[in-house]
Amino acid sequence: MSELLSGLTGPAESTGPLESVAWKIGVDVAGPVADEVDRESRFPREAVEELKRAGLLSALIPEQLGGGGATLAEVAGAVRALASHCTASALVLAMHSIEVSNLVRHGTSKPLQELQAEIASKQLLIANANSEVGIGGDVGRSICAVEPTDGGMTLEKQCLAISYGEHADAVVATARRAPDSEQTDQVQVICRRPDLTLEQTSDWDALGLRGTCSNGFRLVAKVDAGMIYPVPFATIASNGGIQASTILLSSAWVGLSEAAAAKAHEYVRAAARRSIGTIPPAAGHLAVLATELQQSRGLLATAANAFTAFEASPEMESPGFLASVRNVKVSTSELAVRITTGALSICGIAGFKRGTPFTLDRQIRDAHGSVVMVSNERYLRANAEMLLARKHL
Amino acid sequence: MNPEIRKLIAEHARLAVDVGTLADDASLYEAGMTSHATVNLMLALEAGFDVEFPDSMLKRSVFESVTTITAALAELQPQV
Repeated sequence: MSELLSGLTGPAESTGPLESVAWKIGVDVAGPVADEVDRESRFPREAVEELKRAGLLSALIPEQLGGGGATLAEVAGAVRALASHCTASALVLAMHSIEVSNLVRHGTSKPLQELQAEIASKQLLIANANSEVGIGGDVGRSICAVEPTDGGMTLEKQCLAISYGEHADAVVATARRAPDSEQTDQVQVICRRPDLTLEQTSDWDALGLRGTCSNGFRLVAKVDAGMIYPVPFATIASNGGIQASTILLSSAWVGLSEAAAAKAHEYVRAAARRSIGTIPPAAGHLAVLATELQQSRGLLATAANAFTAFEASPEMESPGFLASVRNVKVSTSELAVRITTGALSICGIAGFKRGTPFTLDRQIRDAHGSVVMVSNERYLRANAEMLLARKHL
Repeated sequence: MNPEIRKLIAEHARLAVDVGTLADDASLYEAGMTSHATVNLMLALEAGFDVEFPDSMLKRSVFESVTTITAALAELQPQV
């Protein structure tokens, strides 16, 4: 199946060498085990090992700290390329890169600079524990707090989900600044092993995106003062965090859509070869699918390039850009559902069955995950709220 | 302007504490103001002071405290 895809959807509009490296990892490593990762709902360890070997976990870290000095658009290209082969592997790269992007933008203190150098030299994998039992996905509030203890600080958090938490070297978590702080007065803390324990509290047996292993955990950590971001969490989120996360997640949804569209394309071409001289009926459906894929690619490219352009500009935080990146995530995920199911109507029973080169089982289930993994409802509510205040659409 | 701003904060910011106990430069976010409450406060300020906050002023920092709100309103209605 990977062979089929590699012949068809080598990145159409390349965003650079990282994309090619990720594509090759997809073809050689992630793709061949993607069905197994999905079936067993297991961590895509082979692909992540290859990402480390290729230095992709530190692609965003500046060169002077030992990283690759890449732009977010380049990493988005890598996520998209990998997602064509295994959405779960691509999401691990995407979610890790969201944390690295925040670290590069806001980790200005000496310990956080040193952490970036260490991520680069050891290819550390970072996970996120922002969601909390009792609050859900509204990451703008926390119940847990950084608590002073004898000679230090601790954090205990009931996390709704920590994707690939068991496999991460460090976990980033939001918390109230202190036990007497309000829910909105949040810091973000990087909890590192061995001062971090995760006790699993729920399973991840999901419809799709099964390899992300997004189990629930009780997190207990000793907090190193140097591992608390020097700016409030709200600043991290609004100044690059939300933007990077929506763009990197969208990259996965675009790559996933491309994989489904590639199968439909191959199916139609095979039909055309059998009836030279006539346009197969499914070709018309493919033409519609192509318009949807183009929308999806275009939305992503525009947002990713804008992020790079706004990197050092106050425009990054403008309500217009924030609303637009949320829209991109909502649109690319909804398009992923349409494109994968559209591909099914083209491939017919060959797409419906497992074990054929055209099977769309995993892509269709993963695409439905794109709509809820960071819920579109939440993004739309945030934009609805913002529209009450904004003067322009 | 200050008492009117404080009155609107009391009505719309849904703080965990009485706004009267906060200094002018105290962070309203640290006092529990959510993003949703910020939007409501902005709408109330627009109605109360007959101004419109342009998109360029819809930033977290503009609604951070009584002081920053006062400065923003002064910018929007220079005659006051």
